[in-house]
Amino acid sequence: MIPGLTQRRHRILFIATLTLTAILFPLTSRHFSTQAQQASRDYTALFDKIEVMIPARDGVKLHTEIYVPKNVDAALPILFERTPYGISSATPGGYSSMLARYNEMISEGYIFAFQDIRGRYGSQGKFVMLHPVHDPATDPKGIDEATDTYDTIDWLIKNIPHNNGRVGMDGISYDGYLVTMGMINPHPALKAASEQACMGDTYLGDDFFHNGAFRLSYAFEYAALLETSAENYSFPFDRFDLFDWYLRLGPLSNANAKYFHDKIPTWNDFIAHPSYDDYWKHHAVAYGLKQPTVPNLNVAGWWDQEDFYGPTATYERLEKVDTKNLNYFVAGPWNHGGWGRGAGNSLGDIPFGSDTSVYFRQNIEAPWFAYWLKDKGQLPLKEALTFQTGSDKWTQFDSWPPRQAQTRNIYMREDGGLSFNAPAAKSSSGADSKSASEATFDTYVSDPAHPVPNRHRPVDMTYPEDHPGSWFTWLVQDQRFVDHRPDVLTWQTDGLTDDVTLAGQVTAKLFASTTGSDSDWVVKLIDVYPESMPQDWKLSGFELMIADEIFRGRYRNSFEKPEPITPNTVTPFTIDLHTTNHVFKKGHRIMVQVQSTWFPLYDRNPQKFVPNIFEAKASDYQKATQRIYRSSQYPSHIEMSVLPNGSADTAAAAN
Amino acid sequence: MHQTRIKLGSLLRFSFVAILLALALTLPLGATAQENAGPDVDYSKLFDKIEVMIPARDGIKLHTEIYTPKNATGSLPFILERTPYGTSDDKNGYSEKLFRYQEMIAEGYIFVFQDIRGRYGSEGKFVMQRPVRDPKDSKSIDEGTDTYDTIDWLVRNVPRNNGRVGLLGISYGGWLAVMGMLDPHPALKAVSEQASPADMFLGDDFHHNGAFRLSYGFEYSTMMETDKTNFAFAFDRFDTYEWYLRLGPLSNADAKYTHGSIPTWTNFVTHPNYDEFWKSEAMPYILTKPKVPNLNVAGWWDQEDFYGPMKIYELMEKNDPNHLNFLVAGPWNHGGWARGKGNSLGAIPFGNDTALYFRQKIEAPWFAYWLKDKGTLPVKEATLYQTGSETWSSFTAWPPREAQTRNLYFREDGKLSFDAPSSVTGKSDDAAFDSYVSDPAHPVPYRQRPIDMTYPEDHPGSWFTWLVQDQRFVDRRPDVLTWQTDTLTDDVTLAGQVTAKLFASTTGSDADWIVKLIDVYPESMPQDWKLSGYELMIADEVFRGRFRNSFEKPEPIKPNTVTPFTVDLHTANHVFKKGHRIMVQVQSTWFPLIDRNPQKFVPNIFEAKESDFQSATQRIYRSQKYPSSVAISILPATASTASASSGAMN
Repeated sequence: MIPGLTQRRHRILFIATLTLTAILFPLTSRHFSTQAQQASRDYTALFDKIEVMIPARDGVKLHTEIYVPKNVDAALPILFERTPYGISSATPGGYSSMLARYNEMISEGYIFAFQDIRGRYGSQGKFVMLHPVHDPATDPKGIDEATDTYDTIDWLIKNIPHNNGRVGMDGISYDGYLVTMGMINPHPALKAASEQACMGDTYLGDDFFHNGAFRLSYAFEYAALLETSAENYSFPFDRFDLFDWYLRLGPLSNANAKYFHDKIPTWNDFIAHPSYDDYWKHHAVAYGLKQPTVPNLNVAGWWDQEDFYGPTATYERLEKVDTKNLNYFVAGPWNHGGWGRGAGNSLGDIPFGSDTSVYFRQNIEAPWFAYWLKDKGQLPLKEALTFQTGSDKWTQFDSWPPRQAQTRNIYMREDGGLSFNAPAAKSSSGADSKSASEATFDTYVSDPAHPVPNRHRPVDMTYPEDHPGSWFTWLVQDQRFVDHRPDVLTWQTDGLTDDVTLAGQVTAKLFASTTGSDSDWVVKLIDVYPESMPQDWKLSGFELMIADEIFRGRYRNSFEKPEPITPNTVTPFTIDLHTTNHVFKKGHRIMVQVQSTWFPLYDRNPQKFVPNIFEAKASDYQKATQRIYRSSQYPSHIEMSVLPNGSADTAAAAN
Repeated sequence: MHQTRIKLGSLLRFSFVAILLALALTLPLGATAQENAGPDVDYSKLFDKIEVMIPARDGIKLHTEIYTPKNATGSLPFILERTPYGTSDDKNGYSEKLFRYQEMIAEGYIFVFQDIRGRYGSEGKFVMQRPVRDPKDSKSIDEGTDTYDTIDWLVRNVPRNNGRVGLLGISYGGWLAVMGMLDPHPALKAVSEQASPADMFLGDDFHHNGAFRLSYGFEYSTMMETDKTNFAFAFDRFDTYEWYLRLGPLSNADAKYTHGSIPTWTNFVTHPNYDEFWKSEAMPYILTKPKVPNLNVAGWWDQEDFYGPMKIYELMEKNDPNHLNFLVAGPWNHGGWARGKGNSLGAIPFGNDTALYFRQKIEAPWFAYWLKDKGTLPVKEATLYQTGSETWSSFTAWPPREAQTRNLYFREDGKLSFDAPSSVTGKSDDAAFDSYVSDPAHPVPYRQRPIDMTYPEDHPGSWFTWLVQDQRFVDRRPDVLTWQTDTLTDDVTLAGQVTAKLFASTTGSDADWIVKLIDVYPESMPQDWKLSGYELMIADEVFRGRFRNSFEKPEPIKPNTVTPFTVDLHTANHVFKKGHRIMVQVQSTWFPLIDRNPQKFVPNIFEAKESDFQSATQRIYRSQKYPSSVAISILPATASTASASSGAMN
């Protein structure tokens, strides 16, 4: 949810650099130096800066910085970004480091406007996390982020000289969410938007919960970050490895008892709203934004560790009512906000063979805004442009997910095998067919006292200030670090004899039982690299996650009304692993891993049903023996959308 | 046991390999390769090379390279190193082994490198750790007689030698140095045994306390016994954790791959216990009193032969009236003292160039003293690097007599304490334990996966630094137990023996017990954030439960019965600093370094069937009656300054 965490503590050079570049960037030194160079850029020769407090309709004044290019004769459009993280005036002359984000657009000629949102940093008023949209019918004088945006745009076009009357909005993460809010009853001058990694639904798939499973480390640290003061705050952990810290925390109730003391509103909301009630629905983008209103480019990263669900779900939902073709989609091989910085030629250990982020900024984003705001050039994409990982090329689709994809099931089989062939019924050699079928399962013990780490330990804090953190690349960490643990199951295919091109939806269908009365199911779809990779030995046998998700079992029938699982009973669970665009190359293997903990990113399910896990006692946490069935009667499998051979080539390569 | 790099000319595809070969090492990775700019030196300008086949007493001829300094005035002593790994000649035909002696070359020595019998350029048959001959058989030979015959030839035939020979070597080369000093040639005046194995069943390359070192045993024996030159087994998996797991029972190694063609593997299979085969190679049964001055050298984090030099020093020290037996130990991996600066190992910095210090201030003066009558002895008795404080310390005895034993007890709630558990009211002693399930189908990896092959040829391997890997990578697994102290309020100075005393039960009838003593760094290390909360192993060992009463005669463990196990964690010289914590981890698998114990007693694990491998529930007791603990030797606060002249040598 943070693309540009800005800290006011400049104790250490590293922090200063981080702050300057307005980033949480992936950590190669190459990126680092690139960013550092960008950050040190002097923008005072390029822009005049205007700092104003713009009044919203309720009189609250919003701190805004406006950068007008020097020596411009024609009227220019305004590129507008709103943020809760502080505009940060860390470059020479007190100019905002947010300008560095727009290096590829500056020469085109824009007036840039950056605004602290209500209640944060220099702005007046009260900050409300993901401020719900007000209802004009019952509350005509109400305000929300949409009205603040409207009021600001109105002020800008009336007061800033040499503007051409058109405004574009851009933003990543929370800023992306603010873009979606700006599209609700938009100001007529808002002519183009790009929602990038917006928080679409923080209960179903973004920062705070996924499918009802609570994102403990993220939510704890983010709530403390935003709601301790008007500026970013870093919780002072007394352990470096937070796997240890969160485990020692014990039941979630200890967070308030020991640390927060009820002072963090969002944390209190977690406790008060453990299920998908109106609170969460009213905080979701879907509640306020019912249909496309302005041209909008939704942007997602395949390995976005924070908000992949948001932009993909927003695109999909709006696409159903997009009669004017205003809704577009771009996805690339990026972590959270990775398209907004650096070259994007790799992520963690994974190389992509081209500068995907530069490509996005130069060939997609800049032309997108130039087209709508300056009537220049052509639209850079027809509908959906997605980077196909594995083959490492850009592919155009006229719909996403692509209609021509076919669903193929890949089944968990005996001896750790994974196969497109479903398990056959046991031959009737006198054995009772039901018992034979029920015996066909793999099993593990899930122990909340010994959860599986979600990333390689040490699990340092989400946004460390004094060193490069591993949060930013954990989704591409080699999954061998947990493979063959006693509490992780693995199935894999033989080496593929042909490419398998996955394009579209991935869904896990588990038939599982537990000795407990509640359970989490984590499913990971993995590309296993060839054992010999002479050109890049670190990738030899690498286990790269292509899709992954968690599901809290109590919500299998309804996210609104949790129900216990009947112990020791085979129960189907459907887990949406979202869409992807990936080629499992010939010579690679396809792997599936299943586990029941993913700590400390996700809180531990007590594995005993309690009404509200936020109020579970230490004694509620219990071991459970899990079974994943793989029989003809209960064929656990992954549904994958596969492009027929040949059709992958018809998807035009945009590169 | 492998110190010199594998040389496979056909695999010289990568410049990295070339650098490795040039350095003649098993290289800890990183800056060292650049620092050790050896390959640029042209030794053909410094030495004349003589290549000869020296006849042993049985007529077998041994390939030998002799490097005589150009323009030397006066007669010079020899430095002799014998090796099974080849002399690794560079593009000028000069042995890359010369790089190892950079700090001694200026002093003036004639260097001699010899392929041992049956390896590379030498005739005859190679026998892994060839047993010592029967002296009554005048025609018998062994590595000792080959050394004797070679020295005899050298002093008689090489011009301008001063009649004195120094013998040294690391690893197998160190073992050959020991063989050379058992019945020494009179011209042999100084020896330095460095990381020699001492006992292949109890503590070095092939077994530790009877537990089989699977990955090492398999890869080393195939490397040495497939061909006359080094051979790299062709794994079809990068991550050999996976490969060895898929191998299944040990019998599949011969069935699928080696087909009885590797003598040493066959010996593993036919000698699963500590029988005469192992004893015939083991130092306690072959060492005599010291006859030649010998500097034993060990690395605290030697991943292959730490037990060996420490044991050889200990054994020789029992009968050393002429004071010929000396000890040096430093913060090194296997052979780490012979290359690079030694200012760090893995992520662990030492603050000074420990390897350089050893070569310049200890090793070179040692040989100059004995072979050239120059200077003074650089070691009085035992010079040991103290990790944690990062200082060299000198001891009059090792382990130090003044050290006191204190027990660190496993306690409730994962605590480790100098206070023994007291009886709990209303709770039987049997109820005070921690428990885990050990499943041979899901063994705990001993190093972070991927576990690449022991000696990779095309990339830097992680074998060389695994002993200093951050143990958080397995901490809190369901099959690993952890106890730790509170943050220390004072330094705890460990100097000497460490011994684990476990009271344990298992539902199986055999079990392995792995005990790790760990220094947990402070949570905040602003000057080196990667060490924040780091879990560094200080001592570690495995014990195969069946051998608890005798290494000769294994016995089943009685299931579900509290049984004492004593695990020798060897000696260490380490300060747990104020602000750190002391941690102990216990687990029952350490794969694939150690083969999986079936956890069901079978007569010979090398013949275990797939169906013999079973899960077992382990309990480690921590009650008043069964107080599992780790006994550590602690220097009293005053004694550490009294006897150990800490830091004085730096």
